[in-house]
Amino acid sequence: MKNGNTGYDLNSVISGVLKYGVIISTVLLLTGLALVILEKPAGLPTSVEQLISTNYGKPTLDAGQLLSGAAQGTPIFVIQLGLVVLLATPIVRVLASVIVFAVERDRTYVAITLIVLMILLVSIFIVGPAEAHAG
Amino acid sequence: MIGIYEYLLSMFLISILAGLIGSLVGVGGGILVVPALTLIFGVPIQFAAGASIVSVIATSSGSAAAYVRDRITNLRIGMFLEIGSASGAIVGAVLTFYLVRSGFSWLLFIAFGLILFLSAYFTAVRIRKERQGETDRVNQAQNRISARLKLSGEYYDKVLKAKIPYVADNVPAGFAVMACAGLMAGLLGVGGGVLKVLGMDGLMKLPFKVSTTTSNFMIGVTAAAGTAIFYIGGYINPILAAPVAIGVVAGSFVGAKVLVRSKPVSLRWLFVVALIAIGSEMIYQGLVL
Repeated sequence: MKNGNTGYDLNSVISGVLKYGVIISTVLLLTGLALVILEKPAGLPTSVEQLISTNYGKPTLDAGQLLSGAAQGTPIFVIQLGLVVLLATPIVRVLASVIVFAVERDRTYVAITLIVLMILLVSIFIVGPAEAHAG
Repeated sequence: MIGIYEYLLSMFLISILAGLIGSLVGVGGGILVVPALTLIFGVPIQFAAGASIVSVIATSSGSAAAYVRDRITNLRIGMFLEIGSASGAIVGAVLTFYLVRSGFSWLLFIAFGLILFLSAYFTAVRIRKERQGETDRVNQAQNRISARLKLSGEYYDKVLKAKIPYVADNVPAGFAVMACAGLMAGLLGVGGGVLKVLGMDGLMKLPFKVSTTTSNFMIGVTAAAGTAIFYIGGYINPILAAPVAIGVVAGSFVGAKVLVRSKPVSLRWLFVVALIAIGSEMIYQGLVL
């Protein structure tokens, strides 16, 4: 699947996206968890029951709050950022595939990968918020 | 009452073990993580599924990176079938929210138990398959849909020392199975790889190795569709999920690196028994809930 003109190679682009996505998110999750254990943030539940009943650290849907919180090293936001990066990894992979197929001028697969991307965007921007609203 | 630090440490260790066993036996870690969270720690099943599905993305992406580089995965077949599996995952996740809201979460326990039975069956089939090596039942005849969508390829089989060409057969039926696998993933927070492989290997008559790696490749996107809904809907608790994700990734990484060549048959039969036992316990929990 090597493209002679551009040098883009679908396999290595996808492999790279997946690898770095997992590495970055794992580092963030590890850092955040280590910070939780070391800093013992105020309000951290003492038991699993309490964690569930309060849903402590429930992910924020405010991107600004997430990024500034993580930048300041707030443990729970660092973990949330790790989760978001992990969730974004397959999505970026699909996006990268759309681009590589476009470069290869494979119209059928540009369409197919765009449909997959659309399904993912529907889950994020339509179905997810609807369920959050329903509670 | 289980303390939060005890939870973090013990669930981290359990997740390492789940990832290790999963990669050894050829199933995802989610299948062990969800029962551990619900049966040992008393976590409600929707939160257990939320924690598990995060680790599913991580392990799928991590190992897919290696397989894709090796060119065993069929990217086109995977991406085409993702349309079915990702749509199925959305329906599954919506169904989970609905069942929890309307007080039917016990049904999720029963469904999970049945999935464990299916996984036990699959593991048994797989033990037999890998003994036989790649066979004549790989489809090589071209058909209309596969020609149009380029659902074919070839891969180098290290055991047979030969290039094996293949063409996807029964594409519509395979697509339907992927939608069901996606539904299962979105509903219960597992990868649904068992059903995907059964569909690709059994129905579409693809080589077993291509089926397992392509299934694994698809799991990331399938799980992402469900995870987004779980995350936004509030069923992914970061403290609950973080040790699971890190642990399963670490375990499956070690499993893939260190134990990639060994195929411990007796351990896998033991695993079949364990899956049936855990499945029965999940169903029992569902019935008494």
